[in-house]
Amino acid sequence: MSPVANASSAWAARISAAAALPSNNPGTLSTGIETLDALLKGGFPRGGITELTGPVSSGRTALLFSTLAQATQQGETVAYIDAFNSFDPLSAAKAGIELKRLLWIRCQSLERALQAGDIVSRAGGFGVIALDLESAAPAVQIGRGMKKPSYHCWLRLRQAIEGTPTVLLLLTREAAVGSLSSLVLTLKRKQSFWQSSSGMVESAPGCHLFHRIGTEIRIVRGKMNGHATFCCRFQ
Amino acid sequence: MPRFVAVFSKDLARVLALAQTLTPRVEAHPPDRIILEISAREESKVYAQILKTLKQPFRLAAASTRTAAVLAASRANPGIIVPCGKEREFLAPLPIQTLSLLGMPLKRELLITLGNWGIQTLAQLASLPDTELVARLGPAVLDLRKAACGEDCSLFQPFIPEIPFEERRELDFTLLTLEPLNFILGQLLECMGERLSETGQAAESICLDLKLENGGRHQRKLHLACPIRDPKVLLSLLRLDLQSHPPTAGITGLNLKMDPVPFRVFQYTLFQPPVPNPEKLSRILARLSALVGEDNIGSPALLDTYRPDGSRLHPFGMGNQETKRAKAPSTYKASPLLALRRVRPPVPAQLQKTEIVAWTGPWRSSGEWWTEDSWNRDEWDIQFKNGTICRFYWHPEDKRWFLEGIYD
Repeated sequence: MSPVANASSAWAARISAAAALPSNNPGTLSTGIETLDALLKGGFPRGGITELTGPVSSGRTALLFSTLAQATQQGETVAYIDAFNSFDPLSAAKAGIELKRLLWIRCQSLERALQAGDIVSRAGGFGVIALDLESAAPAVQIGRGMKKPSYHCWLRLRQAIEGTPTVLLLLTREAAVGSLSSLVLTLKRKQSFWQSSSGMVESAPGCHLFHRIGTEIRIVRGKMNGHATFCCRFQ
Repeated sequence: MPRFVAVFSKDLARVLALAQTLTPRVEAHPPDRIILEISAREESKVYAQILKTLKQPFRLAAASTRTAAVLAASRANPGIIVPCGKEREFLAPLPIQTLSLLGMPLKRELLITLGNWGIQTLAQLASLPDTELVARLGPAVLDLRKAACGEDCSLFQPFIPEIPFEERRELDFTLLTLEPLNFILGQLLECMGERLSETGQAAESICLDLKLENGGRHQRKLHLACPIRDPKVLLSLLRLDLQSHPPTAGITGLNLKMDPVPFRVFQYTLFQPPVPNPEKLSRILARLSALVGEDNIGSPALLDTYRPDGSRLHPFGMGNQETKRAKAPSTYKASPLLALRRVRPPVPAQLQKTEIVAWTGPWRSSGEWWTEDSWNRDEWDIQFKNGTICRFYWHPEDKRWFLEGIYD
C-alpha cells in the first residue's frame, strides 16, 4: 500500500461522518394532540420559531392553548404576548392551562408585542413564548394597512432562543418569519359538525347545537413533510 | 476557655458602645446590665480598659460564667476578678436575695420557706440535695440552686444591633434630569446592598420618596417579584420605574427605604423544568411594565362570576408557583377545545341572513341587576359561509348586535 493510501485510511478511522455527530437539539415539546405529535416526531422543536398560520376558526388558538397546557402541566413557565388583547382566560383555563404559570402581556400594538417578545426571549427560562399577532377584530390584520415586522426583528428573536429549551410559537394568518422559522404549520378547517334533532350534521342551514370542527394541519416548512387531522371540540 | 465580664451602669448606651469595640459577643439586659464574652487572654486588658474609660459610677466583675460574673458584680466596688474555678467559694457568703439580679423570680413564699429552714446564703442553698429540694419546692427551684452554684441557666443571647435600611440625602442643587439621580441612587443602593449581604437579607420592596422643588413629593414603591439584594438589579428596577413615572419637578432631596426579608437562595434541580431566574424575572417585569403599563402585565385569574370576560390580572411572581417535577410522558386528551378570541371591547355588528349558514342560540345571560354594572344579553354562536364561527350577542337595551369574539 502506498504512503498516501496509508495516511488516508488512518484519517478515515479518526474522522466521523456528520450524521454520526451528537446533535445539539434541545428536544421537543408535546402539542397535546397525538396525531400531530406523531407527525412532528415528538412535538414543536425547542430553541426555534414555529409559526401557526391559517384562516380564522381553523383551530390555531386551540392548538396553541393545547401546547401551553402541556407545558404548564409539566411545571414550565410560559408567556403569552397578546398583541391585540384577544386572549380569553376562561378558554385557556378550560383548555387546561395553569394560569399561575402564565405571564400574560397585553400590548395593544404590534410594535410593542415584538419588543415584549424580545425582552421575554432574552430573559430565558420560559418553556413557551406565544406571540399572538392576530387580532380578533376583523379590521386589524398584519399586511393589510399594518407594517410588517422587519427581518432583523425575527433574527433577534431567533438568536435569543437558539439553543435554549424555549419554544417560540407565532400565531398569524400568513407566514411572516420566512427562512428563520424552524417549522411552519398551516391549519385548514375541513368541516364543522352541528348536533341537530336528527343527529350530527355538517354545516346544515338552521339552528343546531355546535359540536366540533375538523382541522387539517399541513407542514409547509420543516424537516419533515406530511399532514395530519384533528378535531376541536366546542366548549 | 471563655470569660465573662458583667458591667452594671445607668449609662447603658455608653457601656454598650464601649463593649462593642472590645468584643462582638455582647449580651444586653436593659436597663443597667451588660455582659461581655471575651477570651481568657484578653481578660485583664478588657478589665483595665473598662475601668479606665467609664467615668460614671459602675460595678464590674469578671468570672468563668455569666451568672457568677453578675452575682459577683454586686460585691464589686468598682471592679473585681473572680479566679477561674473559685466562683462557688466567692459567691458563698452572698444572700439569697442577690439572685434577683439575674432576673429570676423570687417569690415571697419561697424566701419565707427557705428562711424557716435557716437558708440565708447562696452556699447554704447550693448545699441542699436536688431530689429533696424538688420534692418540697417544685422543679423551678433547681434553676435557683444552679445559679447559687455559679452555673448558667440560660444560653448566651448576643446583642444584634438594628441596622437601618433607610438612606436620606438632601441635595445642595436641584436635579432636573434622572441621569444624575441614578448616580446618587447607585451609591445609596451599594451601601444598602452591602448591609443586606452582611445580614443575610434581601429587599422585598423599595420605597423611594423624592422631595421636589415645588414643595411636593414624588413617592414610588416597588414590590419585587422575589427578594433581591443585587444593587445593580435594584438600580435598574428603580431607573425603569422612574422612566415610566418621572417626577413633575426638579429634585432637591431623596429618601430611600427597603423592607428587608431573609434571603432565599434559588436552587435549580435536575428534575425540575427550567424556570426564569428570579432576579432576571424582576428586571424583565419592570421593563415590560415600562413598555406596556403595569395594568397590562400579570397572571390571569378567573373571577367567581358568570359575567362575560370575568377575569383579573394578578402580579406575576415565582413565589406563588409550587415547584413541580418534570413529567416525561404527555397525556393526550380526546381532542383540544376550541378557544374564543375576544374582541375587546365588543364591536357593533350588522348581520345579513344570506351570509349565515348555521347558528345556535339564544343563550340568555344576565346578572348583578342590583348594581350599576349589571349585564343582560342574548348570546348566539353563528357560522358564516366563509367558515368563520363567531359569538355575537344581542343587547336588548341598545337593540343592536355586538361581535364578542371569534372561535379559533
